[in-house]
Amino acid sequence: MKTWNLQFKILLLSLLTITISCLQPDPLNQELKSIQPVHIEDGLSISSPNAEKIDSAALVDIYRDLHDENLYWQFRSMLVFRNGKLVAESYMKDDADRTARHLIWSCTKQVLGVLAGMALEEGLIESIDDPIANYLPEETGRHPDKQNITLRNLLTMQSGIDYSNDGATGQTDKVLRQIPDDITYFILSRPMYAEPGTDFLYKDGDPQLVSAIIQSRAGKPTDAWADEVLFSQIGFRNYSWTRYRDGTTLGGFGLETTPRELAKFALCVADSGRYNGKQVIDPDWLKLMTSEIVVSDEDFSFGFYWWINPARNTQLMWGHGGQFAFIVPSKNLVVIMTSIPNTQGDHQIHGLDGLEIVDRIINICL
Amino acid sequence: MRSHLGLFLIVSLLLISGMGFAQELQTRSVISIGTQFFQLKDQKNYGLVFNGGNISVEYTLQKLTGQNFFRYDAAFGLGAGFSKGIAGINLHLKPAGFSYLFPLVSNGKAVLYIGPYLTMNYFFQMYPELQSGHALWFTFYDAGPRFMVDTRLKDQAFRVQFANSLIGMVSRPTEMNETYFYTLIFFNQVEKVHSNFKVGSFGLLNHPDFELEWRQIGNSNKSLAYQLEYFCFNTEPRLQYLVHAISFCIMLGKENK
Repeated sequence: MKTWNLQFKILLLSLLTITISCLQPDPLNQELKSIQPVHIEDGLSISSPNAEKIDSAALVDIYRDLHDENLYWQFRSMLVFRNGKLVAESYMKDDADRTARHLIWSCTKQVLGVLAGMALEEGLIESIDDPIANYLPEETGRHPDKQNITLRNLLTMQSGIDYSNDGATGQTDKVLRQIPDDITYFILSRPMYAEPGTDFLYKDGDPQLVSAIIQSRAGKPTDAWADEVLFSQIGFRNYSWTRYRDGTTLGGFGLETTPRELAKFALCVADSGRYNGKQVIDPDWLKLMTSEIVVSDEDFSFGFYWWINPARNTQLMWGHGGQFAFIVPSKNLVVIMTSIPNTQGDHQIHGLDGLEIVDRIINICL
Repeated sequence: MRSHLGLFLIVSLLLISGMGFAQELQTRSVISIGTQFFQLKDQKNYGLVFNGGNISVEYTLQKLTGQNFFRYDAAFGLGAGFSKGIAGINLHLKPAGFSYLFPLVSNGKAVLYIGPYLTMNYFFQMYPELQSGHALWFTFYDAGPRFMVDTRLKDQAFRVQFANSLIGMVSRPTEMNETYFYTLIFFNQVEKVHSNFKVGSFGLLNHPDFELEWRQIGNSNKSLAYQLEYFCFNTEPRLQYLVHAISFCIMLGKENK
């Protein structure tokens, strides 16, 4: 009887143990170790917060908040540059993200905005006020209602083409799933909802047509041409850029890169098109590209694919989920933030969330 | 890898041949409706643990053939899990599970059976707010030993089972990629959940399964069951899935003797 009681108790205890067993989540963020940038021979100039007149202790506090997953669980990285030099970096999830490529989603559009200016400079495009029929005659020939759309309309998201970025029901969903055979025809076959140049509608279709135009004139995929004229000039080497299955480089998204590589674009734009002292991009184009051409909402305006926050005089690259490059000319400051890329709705880091952190950094710039 | 696959095929053949040679003496068909509490931790979800519930329906065919026991079961479950306010849809399909058990010890009060089992399981998840249009899945076929004890305590009958995988085949999303350039068309998904199978043993997966069934002998067409099942994939992207299930089981028709 005593043996039976003991066996029964062991069995009961075992059952109880397994019944209440449960899985524990992994920490989403790692502990903050250091904000000191690491030399990895990628061409970036490195300095320190104190040397570039940023309150070092206060900056560490900001990084500590970014590593607190109860405050921000989506962030992957933040890099702070002042006077063109990297003064602080930290990676919330994994130090391997320093060199690991991740999607930067719509930051691809801002890269394309730069490339459109270079296409103009190189003579691939005669004028941004040309109708797209000059560049895509065959494609627009089948869709005459699109012939009067200009490149300027495309660069400011004012083509008037009815295109939705919705990831479940919109046209971007079909593009992501590679359903249409020809991406250019697919976009041009959409109906017009407004006259070109009359309404701002943020969408992936317009930059995709810009990519198709550059590709048609360059005689090679936009990514290959970009590598020759821009990427090689600024040391942008650790990247991949997806082409659609018809061979057209994706224009609205598709770039995967690292935060440090993304910073090279922002630094070049922040320095009026110079990179390591060499003029790479036409400064007049950059001035136009980052000017307030269209008002998006009360917080943001839109240039040629670049976002502008007028209240802070800050220009930004902005990709889905919370991929950012903030340029604050008044403080000679560039801040890069990356996040896990596929969150939706309230779960993703919004531009205003990023700007709140940038504000804190601005306030500790001496 | 090849030796694992060979062992897997041998166990499958043993089970199928056992079915063929068995002489049917008793047959029970049971339908179970259960509620499950599950926890899913997938490396592709950054280590978040999704807690949630499933409603499951399971069909079991049990045959006592001579002294031996054969069991076939199939299940379907649907539910949702949550983490940080993010919802994830979870779909489970078990088209077939086979066990063929032999009596090892019997003392008049209890019978201990032992034998091989083979199961096929498909799990499919979507996390629209975390993974946009990605569909995640884990498919596995596994085989190993199963132990079963049938015992009675006064007018209560208990059946306790424990199984653990020894070998298996696993299909998971192959890369930690963040693009979702594939379609959700049914046949594409069927292809996906059968792609890139890996074969292995404990280094690849572990699947313990514990079940306890209770029924009152005078009321033999109804029973209550508790199940604890755990899946662990040890190769990247790592995944752990823990299920506590309580099921209400009804025998269909009459027991054939």
